[in-house]
Amino acid sequence: MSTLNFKLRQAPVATVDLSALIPAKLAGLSTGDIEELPLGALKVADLFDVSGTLGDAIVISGGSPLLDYVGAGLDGGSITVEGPVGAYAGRGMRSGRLDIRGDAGAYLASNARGGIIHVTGSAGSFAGGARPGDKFGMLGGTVVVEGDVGERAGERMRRGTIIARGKFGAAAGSRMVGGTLWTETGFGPRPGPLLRRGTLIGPKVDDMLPTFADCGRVDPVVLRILSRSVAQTLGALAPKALPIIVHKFAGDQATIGKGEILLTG
Amino acid sequence: MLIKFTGGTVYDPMNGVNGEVRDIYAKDGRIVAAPQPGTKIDAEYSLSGRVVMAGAIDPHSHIGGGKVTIGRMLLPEDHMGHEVARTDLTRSGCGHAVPSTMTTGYRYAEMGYTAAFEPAMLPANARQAHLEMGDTPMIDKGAFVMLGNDDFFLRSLAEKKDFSFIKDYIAWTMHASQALAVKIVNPGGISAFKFNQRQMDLDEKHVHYGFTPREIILTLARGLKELGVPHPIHIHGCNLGTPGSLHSTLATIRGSEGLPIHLTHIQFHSYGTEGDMKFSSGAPQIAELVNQYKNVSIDIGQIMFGQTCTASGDSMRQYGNTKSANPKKWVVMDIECDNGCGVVPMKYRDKSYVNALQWAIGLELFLLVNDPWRIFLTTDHPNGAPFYYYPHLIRLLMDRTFRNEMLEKLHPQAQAATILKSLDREYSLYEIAIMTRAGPAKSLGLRDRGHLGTGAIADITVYADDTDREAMFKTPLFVFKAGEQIVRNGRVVKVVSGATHVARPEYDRAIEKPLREYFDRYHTVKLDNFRLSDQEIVESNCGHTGGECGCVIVQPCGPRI
Repeated sequence: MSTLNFKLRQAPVATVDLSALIPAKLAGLSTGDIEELPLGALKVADLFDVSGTLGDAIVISGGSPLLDYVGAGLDGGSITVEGPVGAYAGRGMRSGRLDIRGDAGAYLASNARGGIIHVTGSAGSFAGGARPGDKFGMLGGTVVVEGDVGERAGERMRRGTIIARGKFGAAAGSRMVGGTLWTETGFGPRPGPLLRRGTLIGPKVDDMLPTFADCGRVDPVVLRILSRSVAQTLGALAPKALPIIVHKFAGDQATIGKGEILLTG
Repeated sequence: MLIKFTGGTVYDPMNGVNGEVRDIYAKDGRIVAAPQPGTKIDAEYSLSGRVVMAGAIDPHSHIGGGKVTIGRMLLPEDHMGHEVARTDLTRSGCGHAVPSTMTTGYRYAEMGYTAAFEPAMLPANARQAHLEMGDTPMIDKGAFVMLGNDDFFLRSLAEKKDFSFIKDYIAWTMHASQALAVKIVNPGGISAFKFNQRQMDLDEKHVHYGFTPREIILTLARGLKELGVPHPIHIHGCNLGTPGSLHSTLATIRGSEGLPIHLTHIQFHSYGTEGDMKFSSGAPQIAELVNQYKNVSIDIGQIMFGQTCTASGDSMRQYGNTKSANPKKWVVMDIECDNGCGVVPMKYRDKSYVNALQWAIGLELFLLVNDPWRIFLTTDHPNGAPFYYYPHLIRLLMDRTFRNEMLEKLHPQAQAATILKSLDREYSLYEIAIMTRAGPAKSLGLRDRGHLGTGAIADITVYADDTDREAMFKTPLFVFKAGEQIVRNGRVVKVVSGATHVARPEYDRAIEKPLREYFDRYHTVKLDNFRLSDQEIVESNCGHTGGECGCVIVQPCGPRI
């Protein structure tokens, strides 16, 4: 498979919008054309050494928390970043794969509709969340974060799955409308404020909101289906299968209360 | 400093100049007669083959006041993807339908405009409106104050107060809010909305006060005429955007009793109820009557396809429009029991029958009204479309082939419901110059603007004579404001402030006694704090009259020119 390489020459001094660097937008351009592409006030060549041939894969060597919109709008193909990225990585992504070998900033996968995002570091606040003006946050796809996730993950999320090996920050799943947040470590304080529907899964919760009703121990079939489906989608990245029996809390009763927090611990 | 503009093809309708090659001289910000031979010329621009017009004037554009700010707050998605970076000269901004103030000013100037007027300033919001317009650089500004739905006016009318009392109140409000003219929005309707009326026709009684919109319009029209305010009453009539609104508009024109009136964004008031869709064009009837009644002037409020945001004082009709909001969110509110405000985002689609026909109705009106002196080019920014669609609109008016090409892309039933295809008229540059310069200037009483005669302010726009009129009007080669070059090749090269135009008719100060009692009893602010002083909207008492530093220009009142 042919790969196009962008080698970061030096860290940028201001935020840069990299949404132009996805295979679909670069198709048919020569290396020279790509170097001339504008990135805000700069050109690609001001920041990156471009090499290789364009195919389905893009590799960005070297990262910076000032590189925004990495892989935004990705629809097919893969992007690998050898380093951290800034806000809005994978925003509006439809399919394909985004690998971030480092930390991701705020609004990871906001408005994403499909595809897989893998972050080896941690993710910032509002992962899978709705940006001001968006009707919904994440609308589909799967995100795997090896580290922790910031506050208010899954804000106004509608569909899709965010899996964290680490911990979700405060108020995970706020105003969530659907989808799944799954942690192997636990949730921070007060998850699920104004959770409408959607599922929060984890071994423990730091501080449960009083508007979640204890439903006792339950054994929903869907857990087995979910474990199997995630294993199929993610392969080696998939988390350990869920137990048969979990402790369910239903809420947020301050709104329609059709959401759930499932404790596996 | 004497500047010479050599050999341009000049279109100056106010002085009857139609495409003649002329030299123009400007000195100290004003246009002067040709100097004695041998006089030293400090700067010369060779404009051979170029089209020269006065700076364009937009008589109806929502650029300041509460509702624009509400629109900006309501639509964060309107900012994203429309960011404008700062440069060494200009400041940063953003926005598509409701751009930030600085961006608004730059975009107007870059399109050859040197003045724009905010048509719906609430008296209670005047301070905000003027501060916002003060932050809109490059262009001259002014505002029309909204009357006719405020309680003091309605009470005075209901109590059958002396006419001079009402006149004094109109004049006092114009002084207090630093206005250039008076606008009426849905006469009595905004007030009636608060008494649970959801619709109000020209001869329908206000449930509480018991009089009709017709009486309100006539009172204000007569009042302004007697006060000598240059711009006639600026009417946003009844039934905005409803099928059948055509009839109330026709009745308004017929009932004007010879008083000067200006019907604004008339496209939104020209809908019939014929056909399968119960929505048809009323443009032919309206245009016929406008042609017949010489006391009537109009602006169109053309719609263009795409995302925009409607912002109006008409809370009654905007409440009715909320079901069409796209994206689905809106604000309808009362402001200080003074008037209303409705902000509804809107996406006009060419594949929608109603939207496509609205587009065609606007163009039909443009082409059917014969006298360009009484029809002004507007999109009612941002209600029909953002103002920077004007070059596209001008091309639609000047290029029949292009117009018909665009028409063919529309909803097929809408194409069948419009007579647009049979209209062969193409606007000439002279007529465009009337519609965008001389006409508005004359109507607003700006005697030294909108023309290139001796004594006029040297607000000059120079275009390349491109057959693609859209490209031509989009990027003027030069724009001069009071003799200074502010734009070159469609980019800002110098930032200026622009002045604020006001009109101050005479009135009897005794009106302040009952007003003060009214304010003390009902208002949230005292009368003296309500009033807006010059110092609040200008930076200094400079004594300038050309708008060199953002000062106030008082336009003389008196019989209309």
